[in-house]
Amino acid sequence: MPLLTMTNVQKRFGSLSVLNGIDMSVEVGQVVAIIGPSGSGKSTLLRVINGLEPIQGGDIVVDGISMASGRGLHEIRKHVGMVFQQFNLFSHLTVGGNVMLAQKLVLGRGKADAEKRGRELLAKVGLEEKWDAYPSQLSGGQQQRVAIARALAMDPRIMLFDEATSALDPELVGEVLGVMRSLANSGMTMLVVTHEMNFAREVADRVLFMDQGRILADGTPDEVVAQPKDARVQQFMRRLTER
Amino acid sequence: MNFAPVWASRWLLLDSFLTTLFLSAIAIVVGTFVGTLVSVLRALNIGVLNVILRIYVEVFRGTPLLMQLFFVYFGLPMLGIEVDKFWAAFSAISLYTGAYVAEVLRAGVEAVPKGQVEAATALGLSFGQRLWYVVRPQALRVALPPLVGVYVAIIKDTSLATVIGYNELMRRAMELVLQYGRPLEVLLTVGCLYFIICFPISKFSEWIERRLARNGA
Ligand SMILES: Nc1ncnc2c1ncn2[C@@H]1O[C@H](COP(=O)(O)OP(=O)(O)O)[C@@H](O)[C@H]1O
Ligand SMILES: [Mg+2]
Repeated sequence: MPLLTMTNVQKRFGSLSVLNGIDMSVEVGQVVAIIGPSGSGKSTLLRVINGLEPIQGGDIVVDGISMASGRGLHEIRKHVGMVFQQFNLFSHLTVGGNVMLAQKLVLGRGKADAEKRGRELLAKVGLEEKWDAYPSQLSGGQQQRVAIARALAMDPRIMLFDEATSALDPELVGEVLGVMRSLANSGMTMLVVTHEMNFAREVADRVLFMDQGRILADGTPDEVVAQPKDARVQQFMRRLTER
Repeated sequence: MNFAPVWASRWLLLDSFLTTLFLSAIAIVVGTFVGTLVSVLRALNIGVLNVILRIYVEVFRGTPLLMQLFFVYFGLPMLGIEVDKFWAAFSAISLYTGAYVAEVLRAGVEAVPKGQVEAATALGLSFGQRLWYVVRPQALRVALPPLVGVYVAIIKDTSLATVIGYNELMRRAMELVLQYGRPLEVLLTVGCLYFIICFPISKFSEWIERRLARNGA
């Protein structure tokens, strides 16, 4: 059974239709890169999966839980981690506070357990010594790695990345991609909206190309990035390589 | 300087001091409660309710406290609603302060970046948890200085309750000045008494500000 299934998902902002019947599913352990022009609905696709945006039609099922069911939204959120372009670390909390807050409040973990798990994950992203630092004392790359650790601390089944490296100085992109790469290698199921074609080619099992709220292409990196069949995708790739 | 008349009136002054303290306490405690409630309800963003709350805030901020006191104490009885002195002062001062507190808190809440709330939502925090653990600490950092300004201003404004018969500090001061003709001594004394109320509030807020500042820049 797929870990994530979207059936005929519709999303509108007022009269603007942003997702036009999305059908797709993601298997456990798959790493899916999502590419496409700006405004095509990539962020919205991620945001409906953890319920940051309500949908107007269709259904989303994560790990057997339907978004449409009573506690669906709450349960799904617990299983889905999200990493944002702007990091969004809680600025009034230390790194430790950031990775522990939701563990304590949402999972009901005690302080000792939350700290243990938090330190484990910070070590994984190479920032264990920053436990007492505040976000403002960290570089963008470090903040994003903490944000990844914070999401992982909830033991999610799926991780969503929305242009996680787009706000970073070029020299800091590598450290974040490195963390994402090792996460992918560890078997995490990931949906990654990205402009990093190398990452899509090397790490993703599958690439989705979105345009105007639809999935125009869905295949291996080779099929979608290297030798696209669809004219729109070809055009997008040409523009990308011209830059 | 001759403080003999002031000293002779010490019990009257103490009585008025306590009245001012009492009215200030109502303003700060109940006003803060009302203002907080309003800003939380506003954060829920329910259409009709938002409109009503906005009208409340605008009306009470947009009209003088003096007028509100008059309206409650003298106006409502004409409509057949009897209001005694205490409830008139209580309701007018609380609602007036509440409107200012609500506005200051709203500005604080709006200063918290949207991404903070989104991250908290994505992590599974409930509405109440987001408000308490993520929005409140960050909003307070912004709202605290203007909040103290509101408190200090309202402590001075409680002198208006004299119009409905409260013998608070300013009124007593005027009486003593008229009686003894010692304006400097009387006003110095009363000034000190106001200071005794306002000073701890400033100190307390400085302490909170320092604490918030330590929790991250
Ligand atoms: N909260 C919103 N309100 C109104 N329109 C929105 C909102 N969020 C996104 N949109 C619109 O939805 C479309 C898709 O946006 P988005 O999912 O952010 O695209 P992408 O991430 O691919 O650039 C855009 O036209 C955008 O303007
Ligand atoms: Mg986007």
